[in-house]
Order: sequence, then structure tokens, then C-alpha cells
Amino acid sequence: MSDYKQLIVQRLEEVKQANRQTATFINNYAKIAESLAKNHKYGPRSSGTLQDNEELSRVKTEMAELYRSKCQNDQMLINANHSIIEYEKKTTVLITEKSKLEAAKHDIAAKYARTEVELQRLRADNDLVNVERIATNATVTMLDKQIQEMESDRIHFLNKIRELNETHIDVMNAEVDLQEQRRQSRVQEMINSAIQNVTEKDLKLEAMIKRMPETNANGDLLLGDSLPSRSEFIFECDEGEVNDVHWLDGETFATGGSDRKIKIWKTDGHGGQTRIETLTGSNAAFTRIDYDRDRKHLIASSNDKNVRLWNLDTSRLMSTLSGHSDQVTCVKFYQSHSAVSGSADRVIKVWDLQNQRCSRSLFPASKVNDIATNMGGSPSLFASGHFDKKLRFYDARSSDPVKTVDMNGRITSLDVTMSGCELLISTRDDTITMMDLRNFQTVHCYSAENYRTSSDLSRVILSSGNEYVAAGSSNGCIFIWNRNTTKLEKRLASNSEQPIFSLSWCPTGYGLLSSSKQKVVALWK
Amino acid sequence: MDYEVSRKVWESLVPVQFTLQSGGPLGDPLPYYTMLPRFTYLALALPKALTSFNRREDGVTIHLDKVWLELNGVPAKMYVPIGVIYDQAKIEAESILEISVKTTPPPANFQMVDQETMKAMFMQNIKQADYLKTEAAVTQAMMKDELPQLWRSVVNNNFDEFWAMNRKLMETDKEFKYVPIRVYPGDDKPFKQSQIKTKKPDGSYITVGEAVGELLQPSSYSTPSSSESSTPTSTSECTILKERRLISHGIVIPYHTPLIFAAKNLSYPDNFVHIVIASN
Amino acid sequence: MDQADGAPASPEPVPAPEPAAADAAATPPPPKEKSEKKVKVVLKSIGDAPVLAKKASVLFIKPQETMATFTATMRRYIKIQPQDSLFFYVKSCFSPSLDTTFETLIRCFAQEAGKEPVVELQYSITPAWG
Repeated sequence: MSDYKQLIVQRLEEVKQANRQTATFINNYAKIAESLAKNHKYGPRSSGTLQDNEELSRVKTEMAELYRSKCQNDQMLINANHSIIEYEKKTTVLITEKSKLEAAKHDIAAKYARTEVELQRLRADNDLVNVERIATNATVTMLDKQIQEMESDRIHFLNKIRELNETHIDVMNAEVDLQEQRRQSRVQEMINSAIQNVTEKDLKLEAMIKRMPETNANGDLLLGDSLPSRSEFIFECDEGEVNDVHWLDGETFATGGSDRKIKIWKTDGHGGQTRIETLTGSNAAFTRIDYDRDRKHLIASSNDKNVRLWNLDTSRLMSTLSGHSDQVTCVKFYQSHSAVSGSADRVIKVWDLQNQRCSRSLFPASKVNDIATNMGGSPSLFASGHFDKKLRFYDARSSDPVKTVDMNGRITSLDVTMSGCELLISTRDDTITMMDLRNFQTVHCYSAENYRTSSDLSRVILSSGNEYVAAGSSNGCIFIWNRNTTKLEKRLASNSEQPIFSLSWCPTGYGLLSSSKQKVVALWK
Repeated sequence: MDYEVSRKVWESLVPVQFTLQSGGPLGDPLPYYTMLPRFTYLALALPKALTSFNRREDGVTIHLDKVWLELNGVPAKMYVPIGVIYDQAKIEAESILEISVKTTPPPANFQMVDQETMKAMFMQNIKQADYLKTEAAVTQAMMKDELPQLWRSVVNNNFDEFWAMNRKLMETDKEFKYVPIRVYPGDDKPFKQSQIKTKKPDGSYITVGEAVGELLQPSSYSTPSSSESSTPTSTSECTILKERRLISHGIVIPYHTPLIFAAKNLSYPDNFVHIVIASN
Repeated sequence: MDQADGAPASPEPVPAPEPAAADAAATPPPPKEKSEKKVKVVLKSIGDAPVLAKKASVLFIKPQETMATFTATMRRYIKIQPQDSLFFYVKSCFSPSLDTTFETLIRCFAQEAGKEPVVELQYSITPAWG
């Protein structure tokens, strides 16, 4: 296979061998040629005569002399050159220094000119500012004068307002007196006619009593609490549990529960009611309702972790406040433009309703069952009732409770008296406590033999005139105590045995609404 | 790569004589004799010869751009490898290549080639060879200074350095598409070159003999006069070849040497296989 | 050496592709000698080299002509300034060596443009492609 390779290698080797001799010759030739060339360059060395030798030695000594002097001259030349170089170096150094200094001078001159210009500008500015200052001073004095004038005007007006207020109060008092007189006389009349017509007494009296709040309901003028004795109507409104019921004014009320709707109802005064509005938007049951009568805003907490705010003038959902991470159990309007909500996620949130955002979060470390606002003393104070049997009080500043009170059971609801000085607390141990907020002492305790707190969120209320305390029991009865004597005044039994979840006392003082676990809402009069 | 063959090919030398015919006042200087590697070029050897001539102390310096070279009465090609020139000019081994350096005005068909031009021509030849072998795939993938490095190893006569780089050109991923081979038909005719594959359709290797036979066959472009004279009977290709010897690197290459072996081991540094036809 | 087989030195090259000859080349190949087939060459300018008209850029060259004589002729044909160089390239890749014949070019590097094989040469006055 590789015989061609052997042939090639062999032949290459042969050629190499053949060339070897030639190469030797050529190398030798090159050497000879080189030496010949060298010879040619320096010429042959010929020997001269003796005379020449003498001459040569003389010339040599002369040459040596010349060399020596040349050497000296060279040395001098070198020295001179050295010094020249030295001087040149110095000169260059000086020149560079000079140029540096010139540059520096230039810089300084430029800086000076710039400073001069700056100064001039500043002076001009200063003048300008001075002029402005004088002008401003003049304006200030003028405005001061105006303020003084206005202040005197204001004082004048204030006085006038005070006078007018006084007259107004007088007029009001007169009117109240007049009405009182009128009522008295009417009652007197009724009594008289009752005496005269004994057989028709009951019917007529009832008609009278029924008419009375009608005539007085227009301004929601509270005429004193009347103790309800019978149910005006009972109707089924929700799909399931009615968690809260709330009077909006003397004629309308709102209900909310597991049907995920807030319904607004209007009573017709004759034992009937019609639905006038339905507020939707929630994805779970509503838990608590609160109403701001001035703004006509309704706020409701929901199990879908949100709090919603409606304007009832327009029936528009104004905002959905989200931030809680569990069911929101309660919400209350708080100060102006705020609301406080409590949730099962153990967080209390204060909402800024104008900007629709959470302005504060408080972490009480226990499930919140109810919130109470509008306390006397400090408007920023609010209270929260908790699953851990603790009552906590917060103010606007601290993130920790300003006061904590231990109760005997889980707190289900809170209500504040009109004066704001007392707090009604319902606990799961089937008792209701009235607490004085000035010293946090228990003032009264309310309980009854068959009274059982219906749930963790069961709502206990004070009557509108604060004369009574009302509570719904788990067996469907409503218990009403006298606030001051703690005497059980009334026990209203309903047909159904469903637990009562929430109550609401009509702002006129005449009419009590109750909501139960099974769809039923009842009005008691 | 076959190291033994490649090394011997690289080390192969030829004796060259340079004579100067200057007509100067001191007469012509002595001839300059030297052994030159076959792979080198007259363009690289001439400066040394001139240095030797200029050693004389007659003050007349011969400049490179004032001379031209003559060989056997015709201008010499400075860009052809010296081994190829030698094989073309000389039939007998052991004889000396005689180059005349002349200072008369050069004839128009003489091309003076200095080292830089030679370098460029060398690299163009490499690229042409690579175009035939791989359609220029290798050279296009090379870095900018790799080809000049190849040239430097030729100038410095460095075998190891040359092969370190040449290996890239020879040991390609795919088989060679065509083999870069040039055949010099003799009588100073220009070389023949064509698209010669490494294998026959049946898969067997094409031999050097077959490749040369194919190259010498008259193509459709061959001039009628030359085809008549050189191939009287184109049918008996073998007999034509038998009358001729294939010379490369001063030796007769066996007919049955596979062409691919020749391409990888017997090529000159320009990557071409140069074969001179000598009639018996 | 290529002058040895009778081709005269460059002043009067064989194909003499002066503009007149180029015009003739556009028409069918000149029927001077029936047996002699000429190589069709197309020239393309690259870089700053003068551009030839489309007609003038197609030439028919004798196959035995070498690059050396062709280059000398083309310097005048393309009107290259004396101070400029002239480089020819094949396949936009390499420049063929001086004694390459057009027979070699058409055998090795032809471009099958239509029916007729053609050699395309790029020319430049500066070195291109390394």
C-alpha cells in the first residue's frame, strides 16, 4: 500500500545525498569568497624602509600629541556641552514656571472680572429687593388696617348673632311650651271623652296614641320613650339571617343580612311597610349598619372583608373600603368624615371617607365584636368590645389602647348614652352592664331569668330617650329594663322562637324594630 | 500528515548560482553560490545575492529595483517556487541553477517581485488552493494574522511553526472538494489546472498519474495547435503518460501515488502540488 | 517564460480588446478561426475603480492568454491612472497568479450563467479581500 511512499522517501533521500557534495563545494566557495572580499577591503600589508620607519615614528608621536590635545579639547567641549544642557534645563524650568504663573495670573484676572460682575448684579438685585420690601411694607400696613376693620366688623356680627340666637331660643321655648300645653289639653280631652264613653275607650285611646307620634314625627322630635307592648307588624325580608336593623328616621329603616343586600323600608303607619330601595354590591352577608343623618350616608360592614358607603340621596355606592383580611364585624361613623371598623382579623381600621383610604390601623390582638363612638369628653375617643372579654378604649393619637377594662364574658355589643358619659355593654354571660366612662365603674347590671344572649354579635340598645335598655334573647323574646331602676319592665314574646340578632329604637321614641335569625323583622309599638 | 515525507520535502535543497553582469569598471564580481530550500522564492533569495555582490569595494552598489533576472535566456519568474523553476529548467540532477542578474533595462515581461508583493502573492495562492479544497471555508474562518504567520515561517525556514498552522488548511473537517494541483507541460508553456476530485465515482482514490492524465487532456478551450502536437492520439492516455515522468521536488513521483497523499504531503507551502512533466 | 510560445509582449496583446473589439464582442463571437473557442469574461468594478459600460464589460479572451498580459492590456482598456495599481479577483475571494491562463480560469472557476460558462473577474485599484 505504501510502496509509493517508500519510493518517494527513497528518492528524496537520493537527491539529498546527491546534493550533499554540491553543498560542500558551495559552502567552501562561500568561505573563500568571504575571505577574499575581506582581503580586498583592507589591502595587503607591505613592509616599508627604515627611513619610512623613522618618519613613521615621528608622525606617530605627532599623532599621539594631537590625540592628547584633541582629548583635552573634547573633554572641554563635553563640559561646555554639559553646562549648556544644564542652563537649557534651567531655562525651560523657568519658562514653564513663568507660563504657569502667567496662566494663574490670567485665571485670577478672569475671576476678578467675574466677581466684579457678580457684585454689580448683586447690588442691582439688592436695590430691587429693597424697593420691593418697601412696597410690601406698605401693603402689609394697609392689610393690617383692613384686618382691624374686619375684626371689628366680626365682633359686631358675633354680637348680633348672639342676640338673634337668644331670641331664637326664646321663640323655641315658647313653641315647646305651647305644644306641651296643646298636648296636655288634648290628653285631657281624651281622658274626658274616655270617661264619658267607657265602651269605646280602648279603641279611641289606641287611635289617639297612634296619631300622636304621626303628628310629631315630622321633626323626629323626641317626645319620650314609649314602652312597646305589641307587634305592629312582622314580615320576612331576607333570605336568611337578618344581622342588623337600623332606623334611618321616624318612618324609614334599613335591614341587612345574609342576602348580601341592604334594603330600605318605609312604614305606612298602619301596620304595613314597603321596600323603597335595595343597595347591592357585597359578595357576602352584611353585619352592621350605621347611618349619618346629616349627610344621609349609610355605611355597612360585610363578611366579604369590605366596608361600603352609600349616599342615600342618590342611592349611589360611594366607596368600597377594602383592607381587612377577614370578615368585617362592625362599623361606626366616627368624628366627621371618618369611620371605624372592626374585623375578625383582629384589626381595627380608621377610614378617611373623603379620600376613601385607611388612615390608621390598630392591632388589639383579638377579634373585634363591636365599636362604640361618640363618647363624651373626647370626640376622638372610641371603644371596642372584643372576643377576649376585654373592652378597649382608643384615642386619636396612641396606637395602644388608652384604657382596657376586663369584662366577665365576650363582649357582643356596645351602645353609648346620649350624654356620652355611660356605655352599655352586652356580654356573653347573659348580663348587660352600664358603665360610667368617667371612672370606668359599673353603674347598673341588667339580667333576667330567661334572658340568653343570642350570639357573639347580638345587639343590645338603649331607647332613644335613654329611659330603657332593650335586648333580644336567643329564644326570640325581647327584654326591656328600666335604665335607672334595672327593673324588667317588659318581656315581648314573638311567635317564632328564633334568636333576636339586632334591635333598633325609633328616633321618635315610639317603635322598636327587631331582626331575627330567620328572615323575620318585627316592629313593636 | 506524514511527518517523514513532509520533513524530507521541506529539507530538500537546490544549488543556485547568481552571476552579476554589471559591466562596471572593475568587471563583474565573483558569482554567488548558495543552497536554497525548494519551497523558497527567488524574490526572497535575491537580496542576499545582492549583498554578496555589494561587498566589493568599488563603490557601485547594486540596488534591488535596478536589476532583473534571466534564466536560460528568458526572464525568470521570481514568484514561482525555486524547486519548480529548478525542475522545469533542469532535467539532470546535481546541476546548478544559473541565474543571471542583469542591470540593463528589464524587458516588459519581467516582473520584479519584492518581499511584500511576494507575501501578497503567496497568500492569494493559499486562498485559491483553499477555495478549491473547501470553497474558502478555512481561510475565511482564519484570523487576520494567521496567513501572515504562515508566510513568516516560510521566510524563517521554520518547519514546525509552518506545520502548526498548515495543519488547519490540510486537515479539514470535510474531504477536499477539488485538489489544488498544477501541471507544467514543459517547453515553458503555462501550467494546467482544473477541477480534480480526490475519488472516482466508484469510491477508489484517484492517483497522481490519473490526475495528470486528466489535466493534460485537451479541454474544449485548448488551442487546436497544441492539442494536435502534444496529444496525437487522445485515446491511449496511459501510453502518453508512460512516455513521461512526473517530476516534483526533484524526484519522479510514482504514478500510483494517491492524489490525496500528494496534496497533503507533497504540496509546496502555497498548498499546490506542482508537477513538471519531463519526457523520457 | 510564457512569452516563449510566441505570444508577443504586451504592447500588442493577442485579444486587443480595445473599445472597438469590445463592441464586436457584444455581437456573436468573431468568426476568425472556427476551431478556436474564446473564453467569455465579465468584468465587475469594485471599490473606486472606474466603471465600465455594460457592453464593454463583456470580453472574449483567447484561452492561452495569461493574467500577466491580460492585466497589462486591461490597464489601458479600463483607463487606470499610471500611479494606481490594478488587482483582479476571482469569486470575490482571491487574485489569480500572474501565469494563470484563461483556460485554467474557465476550467476551475467558471460561472454557469445561462448556457455559456463565463469567468467573472472583479477588478479594483486597491487590494480587496485581504
